[in-house]
Amino acid sequence: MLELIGVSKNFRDSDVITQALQPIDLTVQLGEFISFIGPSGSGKTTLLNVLGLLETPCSGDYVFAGKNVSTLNDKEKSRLRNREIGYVFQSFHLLPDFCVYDNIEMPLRYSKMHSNLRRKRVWGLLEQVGLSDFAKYKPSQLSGGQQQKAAIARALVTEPAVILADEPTGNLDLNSSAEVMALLTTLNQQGTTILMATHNLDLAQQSKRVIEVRDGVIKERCLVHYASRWGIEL
Amino acid sequence: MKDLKPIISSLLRAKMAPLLLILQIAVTFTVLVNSVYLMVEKHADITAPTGLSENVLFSFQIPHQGEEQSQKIANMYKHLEAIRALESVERVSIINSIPLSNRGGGFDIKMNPDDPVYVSKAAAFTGSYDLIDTMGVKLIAGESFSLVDEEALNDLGLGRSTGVIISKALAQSLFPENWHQALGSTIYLNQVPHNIRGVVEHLAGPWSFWQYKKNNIILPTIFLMTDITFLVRSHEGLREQTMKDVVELLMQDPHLHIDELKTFTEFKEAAYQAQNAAYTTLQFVIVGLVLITMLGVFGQTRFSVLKRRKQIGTRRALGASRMEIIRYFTIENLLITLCGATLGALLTILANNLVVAHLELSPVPWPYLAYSSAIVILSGLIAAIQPAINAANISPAEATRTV
Ligand SMILES: Nc1ncnc2c1ncn2[C@@H]1O[C@H](COP(=O)(O)OP(=O)(O)OP(=O)(O)O)[C@@H](O)[C@H]1O
Ligand SMILES: [Mg+2]
Repeated sequence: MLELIGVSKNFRDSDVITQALQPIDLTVQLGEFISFIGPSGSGKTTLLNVLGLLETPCSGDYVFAGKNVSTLNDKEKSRLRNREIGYVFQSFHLLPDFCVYDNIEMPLRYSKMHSNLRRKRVWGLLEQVGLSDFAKYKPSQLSGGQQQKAAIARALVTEPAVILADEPTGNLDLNSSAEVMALLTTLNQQGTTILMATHNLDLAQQSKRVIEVRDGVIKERCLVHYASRWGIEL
Repeated sequence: MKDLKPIISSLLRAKMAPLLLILQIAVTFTVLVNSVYLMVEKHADITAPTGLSENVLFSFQIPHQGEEQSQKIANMYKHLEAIRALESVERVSIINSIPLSNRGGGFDIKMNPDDPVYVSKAAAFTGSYDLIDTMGVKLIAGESFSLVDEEALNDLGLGRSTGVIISKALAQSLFPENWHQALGSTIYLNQVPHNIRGVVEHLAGPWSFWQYKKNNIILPTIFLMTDITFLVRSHEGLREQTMKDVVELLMQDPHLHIDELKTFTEFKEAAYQAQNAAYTTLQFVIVGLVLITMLGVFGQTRFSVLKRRKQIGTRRALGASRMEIIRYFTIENLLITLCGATLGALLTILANNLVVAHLELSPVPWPYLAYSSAIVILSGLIAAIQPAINAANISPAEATRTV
């Protein structure tokens, strides 16, 4: 269970302070699939970053699987990021100097897993995302969809409890988008908690729970609400 | 070492910048090796023991123009007596020239009068029989001169058969396998045989630049030159006082002149002035080279961190701790400096071989390659600390920021 209690975040650039997140309370149960929707600049990425321990909140408490995150040091937080959380970024962020295989293996290197086990894990995931034939390719030699699949495989390789996906289909065409969404849905059905930020209502529709972020404030929404408001036929 | 392969591959991708830095380090290294070598040599030169009790010695000259020889000798002994009687004076002797004063006389040394070439060269110090004790030179074998050996003549007294005392360095160059054999052996100075009756540990020669400056001979003949040089040894810590006492004493005679009143320390400083200047210059050169290396490494590491902010953020998001990021950049930097040092070492060895083959100079000894590598690698590591810490402080959220 992930629990935000009065968590806020602001950014200070010289003398300009941006309140990206107002104090927020949010509880995420394990196994949920939540979509965060909202206009650009509303705070979706910031919220996901806080949830994913990429950003430290300015106030409030974040309890991750029973641990108060604010009491953890860098090493412990790095370990949590490594073991419990998988990230899927809008622009993939595969490391350009490594081949697909090495990219997927990277989190396991940080977790100091034995190399035999690592090999089995990575090949299994390459199979699962359909990239077995591209293991030795550099990221620049892959299509966007393939890169995102590799990135998802990388996110899954430590078998994390939570996957964070910030506009995972933002740079993909329709077909690739559908494939990536199918992958995420399957994972969720297998028990992985998925937290996704998106602009795309069609995609949000595929999740169990939708949360709207607006000016750093969150509101639980049902899709019907959006459908009627934006005139979409469900 | 799990990061080694990708570090190398990303260095290879970057090509130009690391390569230039490696070349820069290699060239710096080559200059550094030679500078360190020269500096250590200069240092050894400057700090080499003179063998003399440097802090209690001073000397002066009394000109004896137009005096009869017998008058000259009588006056000299009168002065010696009077000075010796002063309370602050421990000893006083006559000497032909002061070590490191840039004045003196040298000889070819032969082991046989018929040898066509000399075995070595040496300078001669000659004066009162107790000159060794006044100088504070340490006798390590054989025996010293005694009063009966002393004689005042108009030359160095090479024809006399009192025997000579030589420095250990000279003994070693005559008998490289065992210098003790020098004792009792005969050497030839200007075809005249001399028995070696004693060996002293260290004795600086007249000229600090002379190749044979450690080879010296002592004879017990007072050489009656126009100017008689007195070497005075004061009691510990009383040199200033003693100088004043001696001058006051001698000035009681209104006809007397004193020249060249100088402490031994002054002679030594003057003799090593050039070496000291070179030593200081070399220190600046070395510091400069180290700074250049550090600047290069600092710039390259900073650049490589700046270029990879997103990648570093991504690694952090995937679970790399701060330490692991610091380690990555440390290894990268070590690789570059190691390549530079290795290339520099190859260049140095190449240059060494050329120097040895064509110029008959002594090559830079091996350990200096190790010292210089250590200097280069250490300065590289220090220079990379700040950029590496900067890299470790990049937020993992960097990975999610657009642009
Ligand atoms: N590192 C930062 N420094 C300063 N301001 C920031 C930073 N990150 C985010 N912000 C600001 O915080 C607010 C929320 O940004 P955030 O990226 O969370 O929005 P978003 O909902 O993800 O937008 P988008 O849909 O365009 O991705 C914005 O006003 C943004 O300018
Ligand atoms: Mg965003």
